[in-house]
Amino acid sequence: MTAAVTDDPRALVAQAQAGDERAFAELVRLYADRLFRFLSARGVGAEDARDLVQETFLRAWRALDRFDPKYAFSTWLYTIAHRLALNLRARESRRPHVPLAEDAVGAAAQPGEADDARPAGLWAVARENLAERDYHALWLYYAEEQDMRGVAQVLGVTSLHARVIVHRARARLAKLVTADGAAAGLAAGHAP
Amino acid sequence: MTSRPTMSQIEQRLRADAAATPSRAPADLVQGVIAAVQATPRERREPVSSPRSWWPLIPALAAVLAIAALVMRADPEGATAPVLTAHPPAVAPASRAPLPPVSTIADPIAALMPAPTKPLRDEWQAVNADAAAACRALLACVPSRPRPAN
Repeated sequence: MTAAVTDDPRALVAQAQAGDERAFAELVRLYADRLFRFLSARGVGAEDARDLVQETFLRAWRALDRFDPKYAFSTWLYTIAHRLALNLRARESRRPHVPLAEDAVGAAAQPGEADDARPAGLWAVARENLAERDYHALWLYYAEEQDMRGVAQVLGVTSLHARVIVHRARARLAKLVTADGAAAGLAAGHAP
Repeated sequence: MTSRPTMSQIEQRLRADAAATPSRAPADLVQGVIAAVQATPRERREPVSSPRSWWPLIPALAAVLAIAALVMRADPEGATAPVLTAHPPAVAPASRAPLPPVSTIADPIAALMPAPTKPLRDEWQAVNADAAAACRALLACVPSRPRPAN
């Protein structure tokens, strides 16, 4: 008889490490949406985001014995997904760019998926103006609610460095909001 | 004139805009991932005590044995350099490394010392014989190239 599946991520991870596939399936249900949004916020297209989400979970499943429970499972998933996204972008940058015909673009587009998941508002300003790593650090900290240790682990820097990155990115964003007319409206709307 | 927002306002805005971003993955994605996971075997950790994990240690162990043999073969007076031979000469342990009498060593301090008594020399030769035997036992453990057949 197998143990009942809970919704506590730590318990689920422990059950999955013991070989319970149902527990890992529950982890997939818990984190698939967040991973998809995380990848979409990085600018990964819908089809690629689907593939990367699947690859992230497959890698996590295969290497589950190596997962250290002292870290958050979500941080581990974000770390895997972050590296896969970096690999994907490196592959794409090496690939020669061939413009698609208009009908092919229309067929490939999946309305209602990743395009809708692209962050708007202040995040659009951040994405346009901040360095990629700064944007990712902000997103992990504020959108995915990772602590500084988690941000540091995903980005492969020290916790202190992650703190500096987040602080500087936030300060730069504050300057941009006042300097840019459209963004200034964003700030004014939230002034107390 | 627009006022610069405070850091807390920026933080609030970032959290609010992130919460407003849709986070729904495609409906069939979760089922697809679960099916793929169920068809994928887990990687199992190799047990630490498996024989394969000891293989890289064999050269290191051989090196340690060789160094130990060198140290034990070294002349305690430091007069002769240690020599490592894979096949020690077949001589009797007692006659293999005769020590010069202490009184013949060109050492001004030794010249001032009284000549060693016979029991002391016998004792030293017995110690030397034991060391030589231990050295040969260690050298027997060190792998060597086979001798050409004559």
